[in-house]
Amino acid sequence: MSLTGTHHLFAGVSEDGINDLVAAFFSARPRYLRFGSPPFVGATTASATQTPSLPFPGVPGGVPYLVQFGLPIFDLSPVDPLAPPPPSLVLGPGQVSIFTTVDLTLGCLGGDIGRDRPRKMSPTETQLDVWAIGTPVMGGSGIGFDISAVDLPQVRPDSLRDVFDCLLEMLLAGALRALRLPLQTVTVGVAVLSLEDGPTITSDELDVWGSIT
Amino acid sequence: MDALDSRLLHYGDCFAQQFPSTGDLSYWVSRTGASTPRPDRELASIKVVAPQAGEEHRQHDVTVQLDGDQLGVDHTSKLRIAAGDVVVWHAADASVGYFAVSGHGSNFAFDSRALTAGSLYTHAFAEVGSYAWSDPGHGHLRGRITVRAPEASNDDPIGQWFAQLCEAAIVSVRARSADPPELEIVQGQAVAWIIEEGHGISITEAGPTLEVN
Amino acid sequence: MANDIVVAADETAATRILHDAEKTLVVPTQAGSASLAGYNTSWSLSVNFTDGDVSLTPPDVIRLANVQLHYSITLSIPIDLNAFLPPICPPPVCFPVPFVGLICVPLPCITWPTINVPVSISDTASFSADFALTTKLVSGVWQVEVAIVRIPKIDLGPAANAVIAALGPAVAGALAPIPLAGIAVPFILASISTAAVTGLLGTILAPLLSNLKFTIYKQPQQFQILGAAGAIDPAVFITLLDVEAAVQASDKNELVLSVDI
Repeated sequence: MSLTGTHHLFAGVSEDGINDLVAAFFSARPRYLRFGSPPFVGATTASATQTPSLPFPGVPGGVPYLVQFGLPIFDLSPVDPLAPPPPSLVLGPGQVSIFTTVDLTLGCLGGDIGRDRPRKMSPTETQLDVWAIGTPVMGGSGIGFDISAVDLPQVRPDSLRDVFDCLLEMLLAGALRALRLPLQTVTVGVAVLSLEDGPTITSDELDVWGSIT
Repeated sequence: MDALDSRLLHYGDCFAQQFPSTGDLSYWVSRTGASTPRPDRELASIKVVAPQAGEEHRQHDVTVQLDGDQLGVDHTSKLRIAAGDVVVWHAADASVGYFAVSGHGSNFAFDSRALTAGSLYTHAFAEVGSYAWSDPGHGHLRGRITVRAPEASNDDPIGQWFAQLCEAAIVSVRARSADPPELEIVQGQAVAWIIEEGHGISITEAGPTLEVN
Repeated sequence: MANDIVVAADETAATRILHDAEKTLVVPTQAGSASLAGYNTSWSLSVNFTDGDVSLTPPDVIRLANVQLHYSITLSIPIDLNAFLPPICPPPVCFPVPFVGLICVPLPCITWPTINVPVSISDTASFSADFALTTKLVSGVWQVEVAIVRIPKIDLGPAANAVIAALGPAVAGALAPIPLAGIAVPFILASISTAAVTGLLGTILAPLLSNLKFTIYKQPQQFQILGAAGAIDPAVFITLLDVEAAVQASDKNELVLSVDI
């Protein structure tokens, strides 16, 4: 069976290739894995993205925080039996599972909040494993990944875990929104591909088909 | 066939000198027209004897040729002529290059670079064009030769051209004047400047001239 | 999948890739000299290639049929007219000299010059040939080329006929300024046959075609996947560790590039 099928051009990236591309992206642009408010991130640079602190009445300046993701590891379906997602997540056909870690740090302000005197900030952090299920999508600037489910298996009780699942689903989806692989990348510049089918995940690879522009 | 300059003769030119009186003369042929012969060169000689009664003047032809890489003439013994005879020098072929003829006896001297009464210079014109000529040493002596291409439109163009070549065009030079001052000839035809009066005359193309040592 | 990235093109896409490669091939104007019917002729040649039908043959052959070779050739043919016209040696010319009588002086023989006859033609010829895939990394740039396997047969008859047709007016034009030399024109033309011209054109074109290569892929080993988007988002690169090219057979033959990153 030909690679191009009923089309004229085919490009396929293996699971290892996807992880190499993801690693290259986040190595060059680490700010898309590190988000924080002052004082953790003084300004947006190539290393970190500044976000506003969490506003709350009675907390002058809001609640400072820092979110640091680890390098995401992608597993294209079918599931890697050596590193399966937790039982709460099922990797279906055409999907990708993503494993990463998240360091959550709060800038804990000591003393009576609301009193008119300076309070000492003590960073308080925890590190958690994060699993996600996603699907490849074609956007305006290239191939990306939409997140459909997230699980943090270490968090207890279940109600807190549900809160963190929801929170990290939003944060991880937001972080991965910047990850876009242009079609020129998956064809490594062989030709300009006009997309007709895909991106599709089968047998540990991501494939696209099209014609030559 | 090269530039018009009687001071430097070449293949296609002739220099002729009448010898009016008896005596022995030595002469030499040189590249640059040296005033005195090179010490290592043998001189050619002419013996001018009294003419026989009723004898007509005769022409004696001398061919200038290369002996190895040196200039020489085609007579090894003394050239015996009668007073009033003319000796005509011309080059054997183009390999001779430039030359001048100079000589003297006890009562007569001659030099192809400085024509005197009783000498003549001929030049065959190979290229079509208009040639203004003059004597650099005598500003009033000048003229023009116009050379046209042979006619190719009649039945026998080569035959007609040959016939034209067999006609000599003559310029009579009397000290400061040339007669006629303007001449029209056909390509390949020769012009003869006959020096009837004057001395130290040379015929050169008007404009930048060759330097002669 | 053994390689990180695999790109495949069927014959339709491969045809497009080859046609694009033809456009990017810039052949510098060639020049030299060669014998044309015994004349040491200077020539200059400019060419470019277009079109051709692609068929893929495993494991590594791409056949191009009916490639159009567009060429412009300028010849400068040196012709010594003395080979066609006898030297003109007039008899001595005689004239009266007042102080002597009749003087006769020899006139030099007139020899003919060597003329240079310029001929220029532009035309198109077609050829078919097999090309073999080769891959190399040169100075940090990956290149996949298709190199011609052997010199193809090209019908140069029309080109030779064009040269012969142009030769007549060119010779006549070169001889026009030389009086009486026009009678040599038919003899000069008879000395240059169509076969001789065909031989010359083959001599000129053979080295060019024997080294013919088209580059179908050329990318730096440090391959940019994203350009810089301001100071805080630098460009993103990957390293193309290995590139291989081949023709693979299945229900349709495909040109396949396999890349490790």
